[in-house]
Amino acid sequence: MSRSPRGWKTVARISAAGALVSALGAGLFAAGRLESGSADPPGTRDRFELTATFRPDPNAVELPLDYDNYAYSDRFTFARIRFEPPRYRRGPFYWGLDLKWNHDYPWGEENFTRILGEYTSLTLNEGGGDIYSLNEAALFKRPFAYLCEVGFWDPSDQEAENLRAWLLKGGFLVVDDFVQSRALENFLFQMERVLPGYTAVELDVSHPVFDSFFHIETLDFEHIGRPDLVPVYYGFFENNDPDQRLMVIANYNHDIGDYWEWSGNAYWPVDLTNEAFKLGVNYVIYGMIH
Amino acid sequence: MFLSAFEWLLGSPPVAFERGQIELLVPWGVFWIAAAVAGALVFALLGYRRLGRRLGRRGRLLLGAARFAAIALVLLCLLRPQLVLSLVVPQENVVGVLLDDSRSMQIADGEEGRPRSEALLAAFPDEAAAGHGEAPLGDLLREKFVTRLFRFSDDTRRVARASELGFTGARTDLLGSLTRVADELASLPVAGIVLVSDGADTVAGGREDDLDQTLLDLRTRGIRVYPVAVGRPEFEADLELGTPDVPARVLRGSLLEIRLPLRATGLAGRTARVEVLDEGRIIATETVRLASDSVETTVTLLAPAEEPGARRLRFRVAPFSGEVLTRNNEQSVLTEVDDRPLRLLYFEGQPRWELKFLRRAVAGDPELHVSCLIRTAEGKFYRVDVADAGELAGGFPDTREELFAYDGVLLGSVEASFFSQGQLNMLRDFVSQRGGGLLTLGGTSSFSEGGYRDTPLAEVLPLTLPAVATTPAGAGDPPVPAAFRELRVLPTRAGSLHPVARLDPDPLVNEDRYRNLPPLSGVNRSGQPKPGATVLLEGLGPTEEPEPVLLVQRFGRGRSASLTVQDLWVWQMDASVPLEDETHEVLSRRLLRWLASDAPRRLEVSASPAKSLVGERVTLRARVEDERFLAVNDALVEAEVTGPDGVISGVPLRWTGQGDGEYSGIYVPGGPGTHQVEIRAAGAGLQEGSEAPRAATLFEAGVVDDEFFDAEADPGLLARIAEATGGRLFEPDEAEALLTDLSLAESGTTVVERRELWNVPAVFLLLFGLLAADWGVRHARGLP
Repeated sequence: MSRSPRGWKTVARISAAGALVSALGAGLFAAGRLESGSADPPGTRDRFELTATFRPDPNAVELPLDYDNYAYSDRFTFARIRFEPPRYRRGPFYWGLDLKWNHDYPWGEENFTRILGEYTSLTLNEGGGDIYSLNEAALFKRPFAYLCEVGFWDPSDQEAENLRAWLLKGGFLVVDDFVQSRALENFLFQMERVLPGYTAVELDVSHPVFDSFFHIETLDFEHIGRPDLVPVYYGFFENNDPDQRLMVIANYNHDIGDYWEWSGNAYWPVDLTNEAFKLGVNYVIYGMIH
Repeated sequence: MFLSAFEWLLGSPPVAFERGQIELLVPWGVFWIAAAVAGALVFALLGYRRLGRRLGRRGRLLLGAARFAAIALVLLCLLRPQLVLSLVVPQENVVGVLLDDSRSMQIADGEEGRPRSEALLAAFPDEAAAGHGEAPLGDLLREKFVTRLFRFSDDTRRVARASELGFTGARTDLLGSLTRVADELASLPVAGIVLVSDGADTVAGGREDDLDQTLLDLRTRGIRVYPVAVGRPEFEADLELGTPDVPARVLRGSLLEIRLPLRATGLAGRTARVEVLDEGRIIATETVRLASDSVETTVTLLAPAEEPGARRLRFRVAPFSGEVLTRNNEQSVLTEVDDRPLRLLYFEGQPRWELKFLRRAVAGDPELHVSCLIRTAEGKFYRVDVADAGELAGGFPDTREELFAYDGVLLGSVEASFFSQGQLNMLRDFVSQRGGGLLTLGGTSSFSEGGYRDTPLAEVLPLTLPAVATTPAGAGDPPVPAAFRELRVLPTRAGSLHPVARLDPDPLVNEDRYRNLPPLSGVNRSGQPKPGATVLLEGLGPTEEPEPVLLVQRFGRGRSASLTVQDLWVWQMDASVPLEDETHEVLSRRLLRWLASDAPRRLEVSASPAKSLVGERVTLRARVEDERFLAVNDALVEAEVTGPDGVISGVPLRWTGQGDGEYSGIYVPGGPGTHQVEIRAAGAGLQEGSEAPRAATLFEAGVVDDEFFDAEADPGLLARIAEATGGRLFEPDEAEALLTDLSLAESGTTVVERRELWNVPAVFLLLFGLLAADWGVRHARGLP
């Protein structure tokens, strides 16, 4: 699935067609790949010997946006992954653009890193975070990253390989803010490109990620604007083995970033906001230890 | 030549003048002698007075002196000087003959490749030699003395004839043998002891005090030793492997660090390839260029320790052409490859990437078990990889029992004020007394920045801590700390040879591998390495001034290491490092293994000598400590020795009474082969879980090959023995001279012999010379 150079304006048309194809393919694929959280007997899983090499994709097109990343130091820094959105349009988001990956930016990480600094002993850059594309080598100095709106995510082959390298080397990815089956199907389809042969495993509350800092009693949250949706937490594990390191956690039918973003103005109920912060803190602590 | 001329001129050898006394037979009084001398002087001077003008002052004095000397000499002869000697009575005295029966006598360094033993056998033939030429030493001795022959190597035994010697002794105990023979001959009139040997002692080596004491003892007993040296003091060409220095125990999967001394003679500039073999399989090689003659070079080899259990490692270098002795091109050593996992504790004051990546690096290492404790918030801790629910449940250990259960401790970014004074003291004792390893990592709250400068831990660290203001990092701090700097990390020379930092045996490739890695960074002010520390990795920052990055040192019984960078994890995660690159894993594992693998256990056992003779006493020693690593003196310690035939013998070990917690017992191996030793200790505070602690070691019997090492003949030692006891060193072809020396004994049964000295050729020649000089001068001047 290689891409040819193209201008930003033409992306919408090509990508829309691509997304449809992707969604169809993903639907077929996902049916066979989804798995519940129960573990297989030991020894039945395959070991995946994947290789990956980081290289910037020469064909990548990145919209010039105005933001500053923190200089590398001894501090933990929240990193948001940017990607080429399927279409370019205006929206009530930062820079006045709906780029999908910029939902909740920058207030989400501003509030979240303050909470993280307040509650934990982390030495970190408080009050904001970095933005990296999967084409940037500097992402590999930030082993924790946040990716949202993956229903619209369509990385290039090289970007997929770069993410694979980042994950297999030790990166921890939080995927957030995607709802309904089409988004899930796209996410799973793209993850199959990132980690071929790996399976998304539904997590239950007994997983250590839910006990790494705060003890989370239940995973029965409400989606921020859609109480009808039931959040599900999918995980991708090292060597495809649920007993090993969790590399990716995906909050399906959930949007903890939105709770973080609006926590300052009481837009959402406090207890739900608390839970969203607790999840975020747990993800960071888990990702920094495992 | 000189000696025989001396003997012809004076009628007796020099030794006779050394030992004998000169007496005058005609007992003139001093007055008469003085009067005669004065008369001679007056006569000599007056004789030339008349000729004074023609001779001048100098000529007159010269001629006067010559005449005076001639008259004085005649006067002396009239006094009949005599040499009074004490000579042994033939066949009334005993000579002890000690014949070297050790294996080094097989070394063929004589003329035309003849072994040393041949010179010995030629000197002591079974039958009296009928041929012409000089009689063998044995025959000469038998003519004049009662000889007692002894063979010796590590023990001493009477023999009837030299042909009984097999030259198979595994050791040479010169001093012990001399003492034993002196004891055996104590009640007999002993003229002396003849010692035929190459002098290559393998027992006394290094025991200078014993040597001096034994020699003094022989001298007091009036026993002179006459060594006869066989063999060459230096081979033309030889390579010798010294005793390899190998840790007694190594962790499976680690690199075994071996230091092998090499000594070469006559092979300067040649290259030698050293091979290390484990069960016939080559596990390491190293090529070295040989140094100039007889200079010892030490080769450092790193060999993987893969198979658990007792391993006999063999070392060899292919013989060079012209090497006299090839047996010393091989060495062997015993070591134990341990597969008991090491227990380490990693404490971090905050969640850090360093911990995550170190955990991942050691996860695949079955020999390393790292329990992690992370302070995730003030008063809140996260435990991971703990053995059970109770481990570290109370946070960082505050009892010796809990802390000392670990073999190594890693301290991450945690300020000193977190610990109580007791905990800091305990951490120091953990290294110095318990013998554990401590690794301190760079970070926001480490080293000086963590306030460790004036704590007990500062003395444990391998680097000095500069003074800095310590304020805990907070929200108001700049995003990049003032001391933050990137460091390009390279190995030092010591690092290229160290089992932790050597990524490749070739130092150039090794350096290249580091060069290709991305820079790391530090946030602590750089300290200086302490005098005892070794810097393995150093970093070049913006100032291009190298600063220590990884450094190690011994502290008390344990080890201390500091990794001053804060992000070794970058060598795993960085985009420029290929996914399959294992540098981070290899370095982390090696560092932790090195750190903790030397940590003593509560029960330690050793056997010495590790290579013994069959029938030799092997001392089994144990050290017993309780769970706080305090020595225990009232334990019940028992060893089980399993011989190569599978027979098990029990040996009780008793407290030595000399050192706390030290026990010993004796075992005598009855046959050759590897013997396994397992000990158990029982007593209060000794239980490890539900079991009594056990420890194992091994030793090998019947494989001693010391004789082929350091095997050049050592006439120096023999000369020292001779000098200290009043004897003399001889070559095998100096039998007559030896006999003369022996005959002039002061001990044993002797008779007094007086030898006239007035009639020796020297007197006649001197008199003739003086008169000839007198006549010659006068003739030349035309005088009457």
